[in-house]
Amino acid sequence: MSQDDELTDTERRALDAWAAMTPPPGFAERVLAAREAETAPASPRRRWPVRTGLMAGAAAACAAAAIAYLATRPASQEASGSLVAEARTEARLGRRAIAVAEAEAALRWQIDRDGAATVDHTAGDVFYRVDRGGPFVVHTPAGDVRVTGTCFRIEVTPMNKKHVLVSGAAGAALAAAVVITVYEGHVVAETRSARTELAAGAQAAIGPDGRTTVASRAPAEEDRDATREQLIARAGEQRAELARLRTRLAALEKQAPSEPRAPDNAAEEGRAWYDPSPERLAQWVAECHIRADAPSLDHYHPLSPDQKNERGIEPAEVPAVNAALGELHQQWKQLVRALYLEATGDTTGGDTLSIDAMRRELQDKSPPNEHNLLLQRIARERAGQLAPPADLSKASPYERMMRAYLELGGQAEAAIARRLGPARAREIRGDAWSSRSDWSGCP
Amino acid sequence: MIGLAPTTPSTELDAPTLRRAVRGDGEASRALVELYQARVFALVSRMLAGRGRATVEDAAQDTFLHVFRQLAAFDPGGPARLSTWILTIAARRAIDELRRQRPTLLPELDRAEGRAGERADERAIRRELASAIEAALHELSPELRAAFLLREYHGLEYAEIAGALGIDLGTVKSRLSRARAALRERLAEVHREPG
Repeated sequence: MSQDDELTDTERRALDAWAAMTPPPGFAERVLAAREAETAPASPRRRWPVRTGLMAGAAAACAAAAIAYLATRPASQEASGSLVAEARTEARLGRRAIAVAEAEAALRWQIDRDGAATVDHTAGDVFYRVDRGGPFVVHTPAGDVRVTGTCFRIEVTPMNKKHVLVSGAAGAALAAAVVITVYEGHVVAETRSARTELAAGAQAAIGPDGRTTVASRAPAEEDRDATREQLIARAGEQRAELARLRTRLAALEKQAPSEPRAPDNAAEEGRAWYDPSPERLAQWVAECHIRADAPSLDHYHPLSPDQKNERGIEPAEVPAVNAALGELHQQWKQLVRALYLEATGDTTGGDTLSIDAMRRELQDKSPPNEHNLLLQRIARERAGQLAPPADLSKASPYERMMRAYLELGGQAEAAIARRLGPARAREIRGDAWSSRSDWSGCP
Repeated sequence: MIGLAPTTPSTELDAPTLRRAVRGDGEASRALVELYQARVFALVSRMLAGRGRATVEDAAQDTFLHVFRQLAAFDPGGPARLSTWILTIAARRAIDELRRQRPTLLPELDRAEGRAGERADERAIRRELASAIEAALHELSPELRAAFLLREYHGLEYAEIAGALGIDLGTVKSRLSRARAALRERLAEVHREPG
């Protein structure tokens, strides 16, 4: 309170240690452009289509699915989205793949500009048809399935996300951590300890320990050379394995709790998809349901000025949009990498892994119930029933990653607003950014 | 050793340029932003520490947009310098942001930047000191955090701070005193730690 209380010179010098941010290059121009946008009379703009690529529904039951996005772009194959099916649902994953998801199946996908696809399949039964055209990888909790062009089916038990079922022919309900059957083409099943190549007609099981067992397969060179006794013995082993797996499946099904039903995915009348009404947010508390949209930042590619785009971004606006999203992409990458390093200590992986891969690792490293606890808490926060944490410094890396992800849509809009003005940024965001996610499920 | 504390620029926009900026002149408006942007960023980024660059840039931009909207009402002959007036707007904008209680986003950014010529040990010490200062200020209310920053980093007088933030002068002094005590305690902890 007295003058003696003032900081000493030494203490003042210490204050310098806390560095401040400096303005980015071009900040003054950005301010003046925003000011101009603020004061200029509104001019009509072309609004981008609200839902350019809605999830395709081959079956009537598709309408009951909870869908979190599908969009394909005319100038690239880039697309991303996620899906929680309430009934059989057909989804197009970019231009070259179709997934038919049975009830309670859950998956998320990201298709790069060049067509390379990554799918996270976390629950339920899904049949995939994939045309040739680049890497296509399905990540399951027990292993990865890599294909170049094939048909296959994957089923994930709802009871335990660590147990993955991949069943072959329709109705062949095999039970194991993973069973893979290939209808056409060629598949590589990879776990941490094994890499198994499977041709059309082959079927294999991957156990929870990562061990791969070929349960049946198409005739191969060695089969043609096998004796009758060897073939009979092999068939007996396979029948025994199938019987054991079926018994295990029945036990799992008895224990498995029913998956939460995903609520209606549609945007409400007069509201953007990403902006649910307070009433809907209140309803979602009971389902621990949250929603977020984001531009494609995990696999970011800048727009080219001559590239047609579904959001109606004019060629003159492309540099500003690229600068905004490019900057956000870098920040997102830095954050995910920092959280990945914090969670794993893996500096090598931090330098080489994709954002998507690091996010998966973060989720894998999180405690089993953390995801659902987080959904529950955030759903309550969004409904105004719980104050958001003021300080997340003690939160787990996964929680910080999730919360940051939930803000990306708004941050992207804000970053563009700084350059093109808030009204135009809102127009470009439209009903939602290209990646739309709905999560639900209480602990 | 860490470097000397940066001096707060003492320059103010000259009167003719200010008048032109009030009339909406583009070059004068640009000159205004360029002259005060570093100070606004310094204040807002420390006020909003841990909330990410995008939030800071938003707040800084909103500050200047508000400045331009109200510039005609600013009295160059009045008691407040233009810099004080702009920093007051920035502080209020940052306080509003803090009151929204949004969670920390992208928190790791902007903390690990090195400085030219800085050795690894100097950088480590600076990080520790920075963490200590940030932690001490994190415990303050948004208004007191602003008061501390305006006083210690931007050199505003107590009366200016009290007027700007709508806090009683005596309260500003007493609470800043407690804030300094908390800061000293944190800094002492850093110096006590081995290595």
